Amino acid sequence: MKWFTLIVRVVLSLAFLVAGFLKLRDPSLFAVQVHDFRLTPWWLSAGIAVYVPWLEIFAGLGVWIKRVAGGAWFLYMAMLTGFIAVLISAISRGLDVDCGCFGGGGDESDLGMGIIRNLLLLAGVAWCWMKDSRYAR
Amino acid sequence: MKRSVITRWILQALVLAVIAVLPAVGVALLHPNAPEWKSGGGGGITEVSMESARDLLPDVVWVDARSREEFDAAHIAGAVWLYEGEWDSLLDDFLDEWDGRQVVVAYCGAGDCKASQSVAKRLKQEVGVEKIVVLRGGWDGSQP
Repeated sequence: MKWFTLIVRVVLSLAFLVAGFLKLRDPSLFAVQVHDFRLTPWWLSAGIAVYVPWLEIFAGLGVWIKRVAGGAWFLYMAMLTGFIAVLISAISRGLDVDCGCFGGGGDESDLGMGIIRNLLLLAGVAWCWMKDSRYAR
Repeated sequence: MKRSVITRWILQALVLAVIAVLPAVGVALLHPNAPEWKSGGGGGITEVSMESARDLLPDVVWVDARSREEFDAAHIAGAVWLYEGEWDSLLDDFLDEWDGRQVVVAYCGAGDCKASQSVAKRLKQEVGVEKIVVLRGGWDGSQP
């Protein structure tokens, strides 16, 4: 089971590191994608575009650092829950937008797939977090 | 689960979140593709690189804001000519091409030209195009 947990942790860490760095390639483009969801004024979309990628990167690194791992999992949970809520909101309003999950490279227009992916990641986070908590006792 | 453990997690998360502000500020100030803070509110239109614009393909409508001569000499394949000096007569061509959902990428001659910004603002304000960006470096910058 240790190996399974390690693999899940690697996948989660890589997913957020890759997503963060891809978004940082072009924060302008990511800001446009965030703004497309029509939930935030432009200045906030721009702020999210420069901040969220770093939050993803720090969370992705944090899960490997014992002193902050719990906080990193907390961030994962918060971000993934937020992403899922935004995607559900977009689908419910019938918006035809890109998910922007990985910074706009390729086709990211299937929001339903984005929700499923985030739910799987969320399950992985819950698993690793639970294991970490058990060892931390 | 102990309350102190949850508090510790939240504090750790806050530490990470605060640390992440520092590089984010760096990106906002120094990144060549940093978003313009006033864009979307009637100010400047966001600029994107050629690479980013290509990422959006095929859901992109290219708008060439240069003069007729420049457009005729060469332009990005499939681009719609929308020179601001002939706005009224050319706007229909754009509306024929744009399906209302696509991202619009406007470009003009060189990196310091303003025609694409101007045309993009008018498309945003007068036509209601929401997903509109300007090609950084313009036509000159797009050429190898």
